[in-house]
Amino acid sequence: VDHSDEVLESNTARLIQSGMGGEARLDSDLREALHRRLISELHAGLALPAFPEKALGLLTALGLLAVLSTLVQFSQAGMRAFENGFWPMLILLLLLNLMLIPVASIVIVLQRRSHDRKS
Amino acid sequence: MSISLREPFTEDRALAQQVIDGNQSALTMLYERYADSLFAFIYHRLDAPRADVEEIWQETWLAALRSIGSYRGHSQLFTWLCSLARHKIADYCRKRGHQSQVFTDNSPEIVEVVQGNDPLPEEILTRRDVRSRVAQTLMALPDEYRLALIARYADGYSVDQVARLLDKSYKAAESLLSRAKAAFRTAFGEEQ
Repeated sequence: VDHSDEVLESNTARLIQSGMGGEARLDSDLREALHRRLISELHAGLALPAFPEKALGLLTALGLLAVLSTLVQFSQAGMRAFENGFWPMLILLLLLNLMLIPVASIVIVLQRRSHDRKS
Repeated sequence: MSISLREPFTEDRALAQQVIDGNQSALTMLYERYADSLFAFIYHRLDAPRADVEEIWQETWLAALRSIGSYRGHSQLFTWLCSLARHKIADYCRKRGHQSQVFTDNSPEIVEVVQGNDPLPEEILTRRDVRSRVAQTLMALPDEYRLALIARYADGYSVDQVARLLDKSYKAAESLLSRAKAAFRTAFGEEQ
């Protein structure tokens, strides 16, 4: 064993003792207790699935399509105010998007229930 | 068995998905892998009574279980856990009006000294950022490396005892420790 090996051995030992030794060690009872609690929380369904971004993205896209097709229909029906008025159109867009929130919420709730049944 | 220093994050993502699916063994694996090092990481980062450190450590794990669905595999799981712990520490400091500890996580001077071939000065070893970094670096290592290094250097096991702990021959344990030391030095300087 040459000198550099000895230094490396000693440096590693001292570093790891400083990081993981003494007071930085976890109490084994506490460690076990949290493990048991996490297992129990897992069975209670605390681990939640990922937020359904794709489903919500799809819903939003469908919502926008619905808004556009509604505007086209209004336009074809001769409701010129929606073509020329900025504010009525904005309000209509907001209202239609707001209407999608309950739909999205139902999707989230259904997904969570399905996950609870699995766990 | 060949052990790569950094496993693909897809494995971490798969482990997280198993936890989401309610797999108890996956949760136990995750916990066994990171419980001790995460505690040391928080302990060194937070200048607070031990009871508070324990509380934050527990809160971090509960938050991890609650939000594991948000882990996308863009970083290693331990990096994600450390990030949750940092948030918990910041919350704790804010509630008590403490200045949150700011660490320069990868000071090049410290890395240079640690990776050098000279004996480490004592003042380096007493720095909280260095100690916290040691805990974080151990989390980055493959399980066998971490277990071997902690058993040998923190618990004071002999090489023979490490061999028995890991169910290996004396020679294999010696070789594993040598690779683990090299991996530790390398990982200490890497972005985590």
